[in-house]
Amino acid sequence: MGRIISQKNKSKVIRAFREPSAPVVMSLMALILICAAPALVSVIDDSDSYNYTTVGEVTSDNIGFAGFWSNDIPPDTDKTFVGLLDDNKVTATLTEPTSAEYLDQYRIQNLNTDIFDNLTKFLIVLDTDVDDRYPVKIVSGGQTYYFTQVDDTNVWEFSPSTIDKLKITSNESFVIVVWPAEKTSYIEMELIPYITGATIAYGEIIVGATGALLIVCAILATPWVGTTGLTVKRRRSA
Amino acid sequence: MIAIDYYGLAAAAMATSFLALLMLSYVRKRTLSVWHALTIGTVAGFAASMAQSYTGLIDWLTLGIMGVSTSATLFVVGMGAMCAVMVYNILATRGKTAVR
Repeated sequence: MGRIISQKNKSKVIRAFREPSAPVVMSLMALILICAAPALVSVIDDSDSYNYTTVGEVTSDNIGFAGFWSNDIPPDTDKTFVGLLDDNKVTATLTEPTSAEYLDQYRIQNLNTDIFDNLTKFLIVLDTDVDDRYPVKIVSGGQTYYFTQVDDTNVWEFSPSTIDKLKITSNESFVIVVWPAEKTSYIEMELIPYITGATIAYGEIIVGATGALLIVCAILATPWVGTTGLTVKRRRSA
Repeated sequence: MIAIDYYGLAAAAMATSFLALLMLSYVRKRTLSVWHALTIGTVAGFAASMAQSYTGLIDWLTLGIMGVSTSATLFVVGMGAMCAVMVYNILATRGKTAVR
């Protein structure tokens, strides 16, 4: 009698912990892959951002300078700039110094994005204080990427993630935007892009491999192919 | 003027659809009403936005749809294939199963 009860209990236990069906395993695996791959990439990005080796050179085919002007600017104000990019040093000067009264921010335009291919960290050293409310930023393809201030100095840094780099390099040029704390007709900055000689794109490898695994999952999720092999319908004999 | 990021919208829609289909494969009740669809869609959208904030999932999908990165494109193709197979299975089995 006691033996029969224990067998019943055993079957109940077995039923409670039965192995999941193939569809459940498949969909869980797909869910884990979808969320785990980008998460792993973001973790790797964080740990990889300090492996910089050399300083690259920021280039421009046609550097341009512009400003963001306050609303009360008189219509006849001269808004032109004179500037230069030489050996990672950028200078921008208003043609008419009195126009600085209405100038809120400087925009250095048409800088080539190819520097971001192997970039690990981007430093900008400014000769002027920046308005606390508006950190230094770069804009590329409508997306904005903010720099962070280093120890309350005029040094600003940006460590782009794999996604940031891919997004920026999908455009040809980027813009550096600086909002000085005080009105000035002249701004100078040094650009220091740290680049690595050979980058192993772990992020892309992981995401690509996950994509391939998802394709395999999709094939296994069809009614024709299962984990045990092909499922072919038998023809009825006449 | 606000510029609409169509690639980002497509990526968000794709992630939401994938998660909604995955949830649908677990739903036992097969006679789905509009309210079921709305609830599943809302939960899937919320899950997709959480995945974006923690892992950057929609960013990767956007890059893949834009064709910027080959591996991201492969990721999009994989997810698209999974979505297509689930939709096919749901239609072929009249809503009984999404993954066979």
